[in-house]
Amino acid sequence: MSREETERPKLSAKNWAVDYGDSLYRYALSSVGDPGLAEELVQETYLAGIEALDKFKGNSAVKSWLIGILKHKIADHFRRKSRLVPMDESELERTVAELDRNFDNKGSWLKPPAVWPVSPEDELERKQIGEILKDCIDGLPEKLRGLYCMRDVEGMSTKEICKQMDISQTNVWVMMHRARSALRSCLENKLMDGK
Amino acid sequence: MFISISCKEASRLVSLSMDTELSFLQRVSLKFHLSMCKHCKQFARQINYIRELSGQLKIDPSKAN
Repeated sequence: MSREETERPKLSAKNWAVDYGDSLYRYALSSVGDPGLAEELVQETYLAGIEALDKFKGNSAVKSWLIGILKHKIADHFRRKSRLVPMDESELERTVAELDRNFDNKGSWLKPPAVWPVSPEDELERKQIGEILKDCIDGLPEKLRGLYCMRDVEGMSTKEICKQMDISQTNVWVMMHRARSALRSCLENKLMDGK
Repeated sequence: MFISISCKEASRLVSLSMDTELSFLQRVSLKFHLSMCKHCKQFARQINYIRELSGQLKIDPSKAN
Protein backbone atom coordinates (compact mmCIF):
# COMPACT_ATOMS: atom_id res chain seq x y z
CA MET A 1 0.00 0.00 0.00
CA SER A 2 1.46 3.35 -1.00
CA ARG A 3 1.52 6.29 1.37
CA GLU A 4 -0.72 8.18 -1.01
CA GLU A 5 -3.28 5.39 -1.07
CA THR A 6 -3.34 5.18 2.74
CA GLU A 7 -3.83 8.90 3.04
CA ARG A 8 -6.41 9.24 0.35
CA PRO A 9 -8.63 6.17 0.49
CA LYS A 10 -11.54 8.16 -0.95
CA LEU A 11 -9.86 8.35 -4.32
CA SER A 12 -9.31 4.62 -4.47
CA ALA A 13 -12.71 3.49 -3.04
CA LYS A 14 -13.80 2.53 -6.53
CA ASN A 15 -11.00 -0.02 -6.63
CA TRP A 16 -11.81 -1.72 -3.34
CA ALA A 17 -13.56 -4.64 -5.00
CA VAL A 18 -10.56 -5.26 -7.25
CA ASP A 19 -7.89 -4.64 -4.63
CA TYR A 20 -9.42 -6.25 -1.57
CA GLY A 21 -12.59 -8.04 -2.72
CA ASP A 22 -10.98 -11.46 -2.76
CA SER A 23 -9.45 -11.14 0.73
CA LEU A 24 -12.66 -9.77 2.22
CA TYR A 25 -14.77 -12.46 0.57
CA ARG A 26 -12.53 -15.30 1.80
CA TYR A 27 -12.52 -13.81 5.26
CA ALA A 28 -16.32 -13.56 5.33
CA LEU A 29 -16.76 -17.03 3.86
CA SER A 30 -14.51 -18.63 6.46
CA SER A 31 -16.69 -17.11 9.18
CA VAL A 32 -20.21 -17.62 7.84
CA GLY A 33 -19.72 -20.58 5.49
CA ASP A 34 -22.35 -19.33 3.02
CA PRO A 35 -21.08 -17.87 -0.29
CA GLY A 36 -24.19 -15.72 -0.89
CA LEU A 37 -24.16 -14.33 2.60
CA ALA A 38 -20.39 -13.74 2.47
CA GLU A 39 -20.88 -11.72 -0.72
CA GLU A 40 -23.66 -9.72 0.91
CA LEU A 41 -21.52 -8.93 3.98
CA VAL A 42 -18.67 -7.75 1.76
CA GLN A 43 -21.07 -5.44 -0.11
CA GLU A 44 -22.31 -4.06 3.20
CA THR A 45 -18.69 -3.51 4.21
CA TYR A 46 -18.01 -1.40 1.10
CA LEU A 47 -21.08 0.72 1.79
CA ALA A 48 -20.21 1.19 5.46
CA GLY A 49 -16.63 1.97 4.42
CA ILE A 50 -17.74 4.66 1.96
CA GLU A 51 -19.99 6.20 4.62
CA ALA A 52 -17.19 6.16 7.18
CA LEU A 53 -14.44 7.46 4.88
CA ASP A 54 -14.34 10.79 6.68
CA LYS A 55 -13.54 9.01 9.94
CA PHE A 56 -10.70 7.02 8.42
CA LYS A 57 -7.56 8.48 9.93
CA GLY A 58 -5.10 6.64 7.72
CA ASN A 59 -3.38 5.08 10.74
CA SER A 60 -3.76 1.61 9.25
CA ALA A 61 -3.79 0.11 5.77
CA VAL A 62 -7.14 0.39 3.97
CA LYS A 63 -7.38 -3.41 3.85
CA SER A 64 -7.03 -3.76 7.64
CA TRP A 65 -9.56 -1.00 8.10
CA LEU A 66 -12.06 -2.72 5.76
CA ILE A 67 -11.51 -6.08 7.47
CA GLY A 68 -12.25 -4.35 10.79
CA ILE A 69 -15.58 -3.14 9.36
CA LEU A 70 -16.28 -6.60 7.95
CA LYS A 71 -15.72 -8.13 11.41
CA HIS A 72 -18.45 -5.91 12.79
CA LYS A 73 -20.76 -6.90 9.94
CA ILE A 74 -20.11 -10.59 10.68
CA ALA A 75 -20.74 -10.08 14.40
CA ASP A 76 -23.96 -8.17 13.56
CA HIS A 77 -25.08 -11.10 11.44
CA PHE A 78 -24.57 -13.61 14.25
CA ARG A 79 -26.21 -11.28 16.75
CA ARG A 80 -29.28 -10.92 14.53
CA LYS A 81 -29.32 -14.68 14.11
CA SER A 82 -29.09 -15.35 17.82
CA ARG A 83 -31.92 -12.92 18.51
CA LEU A 84 -34.10 -14.60 15.92
CA VAL A 85 -33.40 -17.99 17.43
CA PRO A 86 -32.50 -17.39 21.07
CA MET A 87 -30.76 -20.19 22.86
CA ASP A 88 -33.22 -21.60 25.33
CA GLU A 89 -32.82 -24.05 28.18
CA SER A 90 -33.86 -27.04 26.07
CA GLU A 91 -31.13 -26.23 23.55
CA LEU A 92 -28.58 -26.09 26.33
CA GLU A 93 -29.87 -29.39 27.70
CA ARG A 94 -29.52 -30.94 24.24
CA THR A 95 -25.94 -29.72 24.05
CA VAL A 96 -25.14 -31.22 27.44
CA ALA A 97 -26.85 -34.50 26.43
CA GLU A 98 -24.70 -34.68 23.28
CA LEU A 99 -21.56 -34.24 25.34
CA ASP A 100 -22.76 -36.92 27.76
CA ARG A 101 -22.92 -39.45 24.93
CA ASN A 102 -19.12 -39.60 24.81
CA PHE A 103 -18.97 -41.07 28.33
CA ASP A 104 -20.38 -43.96 30.34
CA ASN A 105 -22.36 -43.38 33.51
CA LYS A 106 -19.16 -43.18 35.55
CA GLY A 107 -17.83 -40.42 33.30
CA SER A 108 -15.19 -42.59 31.57
CA TRP A 109 -14.60 -42.40 27.81
CA LEU A 110 -16.82 -44.72 25.76
CA LYS A 111 -14.54 -44.20 22.77
CA PRO A 112 -11.21 -42.78 23.97
CA PRO A 113 -9.41 -40.28 21.72
CA ALA A 114 -7.23 -42.10 19.18
CA VAL A 115 -3.59 -41.36 18.46
CA TRP A 116 -3.62 -39.21 15.29
CA PRO A 117 -1.17 -39.90 12.48
CA VAL A 118 0.12 -36.30 12.43
CA SER A 119 3.34 -34.42 13.06
CA PRO A 120 2.32 -31.02 14.46
CA GLU A 121 5.60 -29.45 13.38
CA ASP A 122 5.16 -30.36 9.69
CA GLU A 123 4.05 -27.09 8.03
CA LEU A 124 2.62 -28.66 4.88
CA GLU A 125 0.69 -31.17 6.91
CA ARG A 126 -0.65 -28.39 9.12
CA LYS A 127 -2.00 -26.63 6.04
CA GLN A 128 -3.68 -29.82 4.84
CA ILE A 129 -5.18 -30.50 8.25
CA GLY A 130 -6.27 -26.85 8.38
CA GLU A 131 -8.30 -27.48 5.21
CA ILE A 132 -9.91 -30.58 6.75
CA LEU A 133 -10.65 -28.57 9.87
CA LYS A 134 -12.39 -25.91 7.74
CA ASP A 135 -14.73 -28.61 6.40
CA CYS A 136 -15.44 -29.75 9.95
CA ILE A 137 -16.17 -26.16 11.05
CA ASP A 138 -18.50 -25.76 8.05
CA GLY A 139 -20.34 -28.88 9.19
CA LEU A 140 -21.16 -27.47 12.65
CA PRO A 141 -24.73 -26.29 13.27
CA GLU A 142 -24.95 -22.64 12.26
CA LYS A 143 -25.10 -21.03 15.68
CA LEU A 144 -22.32 -23.21 17.01
CA ARG A 145 -20.19 -22.39 13.97
CA GLY A 146 -20.76 -18.67 14.48
CA LEU A 147 -19.80 -18.93 18.12
CA TYR A 148 -16.74 -21.07 17.38
CA CYS A 149 -15.50 -18.68 14.68
CA MET A 150 -15.92 -15.67 16.93
CA ARG A 151 -14.05 -17.30 19.81
CA ASP A 152 -11.38 -19.66 18.43
CA VAL A 153 -10.90 -18.32 14.88
CA GLU A 154 -11.31 -14.58 15.52
CA GLY A 155 -10.09 -14.74 19.10
CA MET A 156 -12.90 -12.55 20.47
CA SER A 157 -13.22 -12.52 24.27
CA THR A 158 -16.01 -14.49 25.95
CA LYS A 159 -17.31 -11.23 27.40
CA GLU A 160 -17.50 -9.60 24.00
CA ILE A 161 -19.31 -12.64 22.56
CA CYS A 162 -21.85 -12.61 25.42
CA LYS A 163 -22.61 -8.99 24.59
CA GLN A 164 -22.76 -9.56 20.83
CA MET A 165 -24.90 -12.70 20.97
CA ASP A 166 -26.86 -11.81 24.06
CA ILE A 167 -26.16 -15.11 25.82
CA SER A 168 -24.70 -15.95 29.23
CA GLN A 169 -21.08 -16.82 29.88
CA THR A 170 -22.06 -20.31 31.04
CA ASN A 171 -23.84 -20.91 27.75
CA VAL A 172 -20.76 -19.81 25.83
CA TRP A 173 -18.57 -22.21 27.84
CA VAL A 174 -20.90 -25.17 27.33
CA MET A 175 -21.37 -24.45 23.62
CA MET A 176 -17.63 -23.99 23.11
CA HIS A 177 -16.95 -27.31 24.82
CA ARG A 178 -19.46 -28.95 22.51
CA ALA A 179 -18.00 -27.25 19.41
CA ARG A 180 -14.42 -28.23 20.30
CA SER A 181 -15.44 -31.80 21.12
CA ALA A 182 -17.42 -32.07 17.89
CA LEU A 183 -14.50 -30.73 15.84
CA ARG A 184 -12.11 -33.12 17.56
CA SER A 185 -14.34 -36.09 16.69
CA CYS A 186 -14.86 -34.85 13.13
CA LEU A 187 -11.14 -34.36 12.55
CA GLU A 188 -10.36 -37.71 14.11
CA ASN A 189 -12.85 -39.50 11.82
CA LYS A 190 -11.41 -37.82 8.74
CA LEU A 191 -7.78 -38.36 9.74
CA MET A 192 -8.23 -41.99 10.70
CA ASP A 193 -10.24 -42.67 7.52
CA GLY A 194 -7.41 -41.41 5.41
CA LYS A 195 -4.87 -43.49 7.27
CA MET B 1 -9.88 -38.41 47.03
CA PHE B 2 -11.22 -34.86 46.83
CA ILE B 3 -9.19 -33.98 43.74
CA SER B 4 -10.25 -37.09 41.84
CA ILE B 5 -12.40 -36.22 38.83
CA SER B 6 -13.86 -38.24 35.94
CA CYS B 7 -12.72 -38.07 32.31
CA LYS B 8 -15.96 -36.27 31.50
CA GLU B 9 -15.20 -33.55 34.05
CA ALA B 10 -11.54 -33.41 32.98
CA SER B 11 -12.51 -32.85 29.33
CA ARG B 12 -14.92 -30.09 30.41
CA LEU B 13 -12.19 -28.40 32.43
CA VAL B 14 -9.70 -28.63 29.55
CA SER B 15 -12.11 -26.68 27.36
CA LEU B 16 -13.14 -24.31 30.16
CA SER B 17 -9.50 -23.42 30.83
CA MET B 18 -9.38 -21.97 27.32
CA ASP B 19 -12.18 -19.53 28.13
CA THR B 20 -11.68 -18.58 31.76
CA GLU B 21 -9.30 -19.01 34.65
CA LEU B 22 -9.92 -22.22 36.59
CA SER B 23 -10.22 -22.20 40.37
CA PHE B 24 -7.29 -23.55 42.37
CA LEU B 25 -9.13 -26.80 43.08
CA GLN B 26 -10.09 -27.22 39.42
CA ARG B 27 -6.49 -26.64 38.33
CA VAL B 28 -5.08 -29.16 40.81
CA SER B 29 -7.76 -31.76 39.99
CA LEU B 30 -7.18 -31.38 36.26
CA LYS B 31 -3.41 -31.56 36.56
CA PHE B 32 -3.67 -34.64 38.73
CA HIS B 33 -6.12 -36.32 36.35
CA LEU B 34 -4.02 -35.51 33.25
CA SER B 35 -0.93 -36.96 34.92
CA MET B 36 -2.76 -40.28 35.32
CA CYS B 37 -4.99 -40.49 32.24
CA LYS B 38 -3.44 -40.85 28.79
CA HIS B 39 -6.83 -40.54 27.06
CA CYS B 40 -7.58 -37.15 28.57
CA LYS B 41 -4.01 -36.04 27.99
CA GLN B 42 -4.53 -36.95 24.35
CA PHE B 43 -7.86 -35.07 24.30
CA ALA B 44 -6.20 -31.97 25.77
CA ARG B 45 -3.35 -32.13 23.26
CA GLN B 46 -5.78 -32.52 20.36
CA ILE B 47 -8.13 -29.69 21.23
CA ASN B 48 -5.16 -27.40 21.84
CA TYR B 49 -3.87 -28.33 18.38
CA ILE B 50 -7.31 -27.65 16.86
CA ARG B 51 -7.47 -24.28 18.58
CA GLU B 52 -4.03 -23.35 17.33
CA LEU B 53 -4.94 -24.36 13.76
CA SER B 54 -8.24 -22.44 14.02
CA GLY B 55 -6.40 -19.26 14.93
CA GLN B 56 -4.33 -19.66 11.79
CA LEU B 57 -7.44 -19.98 9.60
CA LYS B 58 -8.04 -16.32 10.26
CA ILE B 59 -6.80 -14.31 7.32
CA ASP B 60 -3.91 -12.15 8.29
CA PRO B 61 -4.64 -8.81 6.58
CA SER B 62 -0.94 -8.19 6.07
CA LYS B 63 -0.54 -11.49 4.23
CA ALA B 64 -3.81 -11.72 2.32
CA ASN B 65 -3.73 -10.78 -1.38
